[in-house]
Amino acid sequence: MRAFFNNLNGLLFCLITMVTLDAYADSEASGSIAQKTDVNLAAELLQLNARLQLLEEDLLYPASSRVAVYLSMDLGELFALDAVTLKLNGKDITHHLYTERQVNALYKGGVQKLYVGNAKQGMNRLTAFFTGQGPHDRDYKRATTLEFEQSFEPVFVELLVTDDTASQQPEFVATVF
Amino acid sequence: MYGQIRFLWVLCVLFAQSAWAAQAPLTRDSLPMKHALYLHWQGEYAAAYRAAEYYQLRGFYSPELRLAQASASLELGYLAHGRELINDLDEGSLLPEHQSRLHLYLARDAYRRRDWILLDEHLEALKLLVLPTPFFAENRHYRFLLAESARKNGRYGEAEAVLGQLGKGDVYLFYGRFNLATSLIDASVAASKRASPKSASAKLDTSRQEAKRLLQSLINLPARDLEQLMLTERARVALADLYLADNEWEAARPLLSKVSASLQYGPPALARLARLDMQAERYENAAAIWDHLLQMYPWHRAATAAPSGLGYAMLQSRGEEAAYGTYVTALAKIEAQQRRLVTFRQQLEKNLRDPKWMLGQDDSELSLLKWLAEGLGHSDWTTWLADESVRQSAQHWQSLDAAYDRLQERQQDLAILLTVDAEQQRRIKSARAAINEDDLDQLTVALIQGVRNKLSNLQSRRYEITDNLEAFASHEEQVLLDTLKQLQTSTLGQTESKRIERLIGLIRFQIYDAIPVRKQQQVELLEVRLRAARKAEQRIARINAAALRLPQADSVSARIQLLATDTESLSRRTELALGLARDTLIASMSEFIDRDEALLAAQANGLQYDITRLLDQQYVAVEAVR
Repeated sequence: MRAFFNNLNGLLFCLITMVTLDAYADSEASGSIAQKTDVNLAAELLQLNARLQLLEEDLLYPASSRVAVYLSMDLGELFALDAVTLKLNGKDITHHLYTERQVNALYKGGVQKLYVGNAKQGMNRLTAFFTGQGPHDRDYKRATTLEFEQSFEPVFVELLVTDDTASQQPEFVATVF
Repeated sequence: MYGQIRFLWVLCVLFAQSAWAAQAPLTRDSLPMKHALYLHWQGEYAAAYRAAEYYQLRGFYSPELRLAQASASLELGYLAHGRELINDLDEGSLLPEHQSRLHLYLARDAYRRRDWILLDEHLEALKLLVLPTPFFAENRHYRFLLAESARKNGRYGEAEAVLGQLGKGDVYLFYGRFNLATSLIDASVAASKRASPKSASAKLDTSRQEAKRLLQSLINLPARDLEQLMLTERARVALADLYLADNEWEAARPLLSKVSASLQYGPPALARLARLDMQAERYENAAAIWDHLLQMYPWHRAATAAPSGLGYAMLQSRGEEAAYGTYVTALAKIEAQQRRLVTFRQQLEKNLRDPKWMLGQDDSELSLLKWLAEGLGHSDWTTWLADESVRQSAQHWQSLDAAYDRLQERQQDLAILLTVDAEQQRRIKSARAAINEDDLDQLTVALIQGVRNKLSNLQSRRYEITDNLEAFASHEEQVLLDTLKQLQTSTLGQTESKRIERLIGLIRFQIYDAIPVRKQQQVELLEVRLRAARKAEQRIARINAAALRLPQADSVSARIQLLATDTESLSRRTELALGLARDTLIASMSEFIDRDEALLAAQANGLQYDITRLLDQQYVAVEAVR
């Protein structure tokens, strides 16, 4: 019996080479055709969803009345964003409460699609209310208003949160781009 | 496997964290990529992929957007698809930094497939492109790949030097050093087979010492999270194995003792400690460890020798009777587990067609699999299946099942859209018909023209003394004037006529005084009417425009129909794939049971041999006494 255990020690040296060498190399190369087909199915499903989204927008928000509002941040060190409320012609159209991950994604340069909807032909008034923490961790609520004309083309609005380094205050800008 | 996934994840995130989305004024061209990256950075890879696809369908295409989509695809595990997207890219159309990123993706992909030649090619391309830039010069993933390439090409010193540039808390340092240590051992073994015994021995010794040094340095690194702790523990076990192979028992013991018994490398460390105690003839200790191993990890590969080991330790420490009892108890337990496995197989065959019920809706829900796992002695069914093909098959089946459900929902969505489309068409047609029927558009144009003429006329006469004062009379004044004029025509005396004339004159003076104000009021009124008429005109224009879009609306219906057909086709294919996945799942589970059965059979055979040997010894002893 002892010999058995002694021999096992000899095997231990070999065992070390069995421990993962290429820690990250995966088994994709040996993946079955079925699995690859399934991956294609999954990608096709996502593509189908994109087509559906496109169709939905074309149908529900025609180009002649479509307005899309995007939100981005430049620096954003003077303002920690908590929430945004949008009003179009005095009516609440959307409210968004931000998670930490969403705020981080905005800090990195990402752009959020905040709202897509319809606006009447002619002049419209869009107001965005930003809630969060401003300089010195003080509660902060500001609004910015934009008047834009809805013609027969879709309107893209950017809401930008930026820092005014001169005044050490955050700035909120709304523009049609 | 989890290391690989984490690697991919970290790599993709870090790529995307670069200057890709550098702050610049938002334009319609930059919007799609930035929106896709916003979703990507939140870990919403499916949404990021879908957004990139959506914008491309809208006609926004850029190589960077395609690269972002490829990145999301890789994150989702669609490796082949991600590769296809990358291959479709025209490298020349990318900015140099994006070309670098592309090569880094391809280098990573080559590394994952162990295509070392291709990895070297992409690393070389990266060097020629933009290096050194702050991003790549400091890029830990790039360094790791460089180190791995050097290691694979036998340039161990260079690999170690590159790894040395990584921070002490960097998980790649852990992986890189471990890989380097194992490569050194492999190389030394290979060299020993080729060279003369003397030089081979020297080479082997040097390489083993180097490997030991690397593993020790890895163990000394502070572990900042569970992954790093696990890598440290793996290094401890590996270093202990090297010491054990060199018969340096006492050097191995402290290393093994520090491995946490409750984590992944606990069972192998415990098995080695038990063997060390057996070597040192500390049988009580060895028995305790074997027993602990059997109680805690009955199904672990490291526990295969535990029943025999425990029996032998009992034999040495407490005598034959205790050993016999241990052997018999262990054998009975194994036989009970074998019976449970038979039950499990029966249950599996009985419920073959319903994996949903078998797996449960989530890990916390009671299910057949969980029940059986616990019945068999596995503490947790997810742990039991972890890293095994069953787990992969189960996840695969579940993802397909979810996709199938989503496709059913999409079909419902399409039905709703079809209704919306039909309603919109009906309304537009009906509005257009109303306009045509009443000639509303012509009427509106005439109305606008009429109001405009009046306005113009009024404005041009604003400062004239008008002959037609009564046009500015109020309703009451007009009534009075009419009454007075009527009285004047009747047969009245001269005095009355003069009085009436005076009264008419007074009213006209009053009107004359009020003309500027009344003109202004009329202008305002007409302007209001004009605005209202223009609005009506715009509405009619909108309806006309919508009516003109009716042929496009027909194409919307066609698109819905096409989408419905595609959804149905995809549903059918998903259903087929689901069936295949279910079969694979069942097959993998059977395979897993086979493995459990083989393990139990090996243990049972060993124990039966031990029992027989013990009984033989007793018989021989009795015979000798006789």
